[in-house]
Amino acid sequence: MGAGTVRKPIIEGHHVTKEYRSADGRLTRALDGVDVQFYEGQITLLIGPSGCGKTTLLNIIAGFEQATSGSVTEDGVAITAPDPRRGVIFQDPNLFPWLTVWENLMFGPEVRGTDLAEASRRGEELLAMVNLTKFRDHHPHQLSGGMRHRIAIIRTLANAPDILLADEPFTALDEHTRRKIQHDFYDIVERTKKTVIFVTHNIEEAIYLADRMVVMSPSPGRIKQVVDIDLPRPRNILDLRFNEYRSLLFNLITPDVVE
Amino acid sequence: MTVETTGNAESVAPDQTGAPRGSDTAGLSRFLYIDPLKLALPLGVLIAWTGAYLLNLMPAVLLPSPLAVLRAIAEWINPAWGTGRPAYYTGTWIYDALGSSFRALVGFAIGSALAIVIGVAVGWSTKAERVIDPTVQVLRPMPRTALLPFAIIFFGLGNLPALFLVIYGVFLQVYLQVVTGVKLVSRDWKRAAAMLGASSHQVLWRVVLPGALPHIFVGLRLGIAYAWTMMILAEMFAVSGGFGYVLWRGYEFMRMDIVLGGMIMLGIFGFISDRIIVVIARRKLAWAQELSGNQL
Repeated sequence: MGAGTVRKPIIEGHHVTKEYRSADGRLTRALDGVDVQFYEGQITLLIGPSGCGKTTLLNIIAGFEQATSGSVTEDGVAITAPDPRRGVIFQDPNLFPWLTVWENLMFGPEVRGTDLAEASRRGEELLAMVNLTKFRDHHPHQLSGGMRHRIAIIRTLANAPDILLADEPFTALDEHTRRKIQHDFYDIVERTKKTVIFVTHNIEEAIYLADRMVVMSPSPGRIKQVVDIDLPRPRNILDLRFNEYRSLLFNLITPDVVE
Repeated sequence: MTVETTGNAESVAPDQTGAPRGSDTAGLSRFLYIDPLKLALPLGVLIAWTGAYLLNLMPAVLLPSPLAVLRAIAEWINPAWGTGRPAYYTGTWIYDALGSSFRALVGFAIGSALAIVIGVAVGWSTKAERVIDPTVQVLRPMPRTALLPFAIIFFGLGNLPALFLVIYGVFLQVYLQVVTGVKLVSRDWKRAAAMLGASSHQVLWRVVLPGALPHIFVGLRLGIAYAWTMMILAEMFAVSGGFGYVLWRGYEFMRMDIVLGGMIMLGIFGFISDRIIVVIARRKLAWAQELSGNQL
């Protein structure tokens, strides 16, 4: 997964534009003619200040929203609806509170009618991987925030998606839990060689996770610059070069922050 | 190969502010324990009532003593317990109870079922909403009492107009809660389900319906009260039997003792039917209760 290997873009956006008409009739451009590529097996971060359109772009790739104009394709096929191939990890764990942890985990395989024996086996593996096996019959409200996030992640993984879309999934966690789960998340991704598109506004988180960063600017939402992160894994946040990237990104993003 | 976690520090999250309210006593002791606060108001009313009677604040024919009411109820249930002078209601209690319960409960069941089916359709499909909702919203504020003569005209006398009124009243009440509950289901739950591979149909059954259940149960509690109310109304003219019938005839004969007796009987039956729904709701909505820390 180092830089330099030729990859084909697995997801592409051509001239993606998204407009909203607000209640008082004003037209807002969340995205303005965005051209972007995402490569297989790579972790790409979408980063930028509020209003830069990163979540809108992710929602369009996920299939939750449609672009006003332009196209977004996966393997050349236009994206029109959500699909298990593009697994999403939300900002809120979004676990179904009336189901137990295990029932949440098995939701995907069950609704898709996949082989339950195989899915159960994988589910047990995933639970063990995040050390939550003994909580399988608990309900989400009985778990702490970090635990719920881990269950949410493995619930999406239980469907074996090719692509992981993450929308600021760790924002609500405290710093310690957050670092832990970033580490765990990277471990999972690295082992399964998944393609990841990750949205965040946190520069440190972005540098920690990214192979490649797409920096966006707001009003209207555009791509400002694409930065390749050339740091060894696992990333060390105290490293000098890490800080160089921090400065670079800080200077790229901060001027665009709207007061 | 396991992923490292924070170990001991991470245990089951503690309750926010202690155990859910109302769950302090468990099991049989809960049934035997009588909460003094719950009895305070009824006891207070009983004392005030007795006091008013003894002080002759109103003529006895308008405000009978609690004892007189009890005697009327006794006579209603069993003529042998009566004063010997049979009234129109002597010994008819069991038939009244069965008749009223049938009208109220069967009407409630049908009205709720209709409200859930139609309400879910309206909450889920904008097209269904455009076709159905405006009409319902216009009907809702219309006085239901005005429907009684129409019910009798169309359905004659007996159980049919009573059932119609109950179904109508219950439907309008429950419908609103169902529609609201369906519409307010979190969009992110629906998105999560779709992303996990659920079809539109599966999202409706597996996510929207469970998610709307809290609102639906509120609707059912409101609906059951309406069922009894509409049933009393129907028994004013359309049916010759039942608690309401006894009550209304009591007014005509200036027998306030049996009027109060009928009201008490309705209160008891209404209370019991509501409690049954609450007990079921507590089981089905365990997740929502624990989320809020409160018991229904």
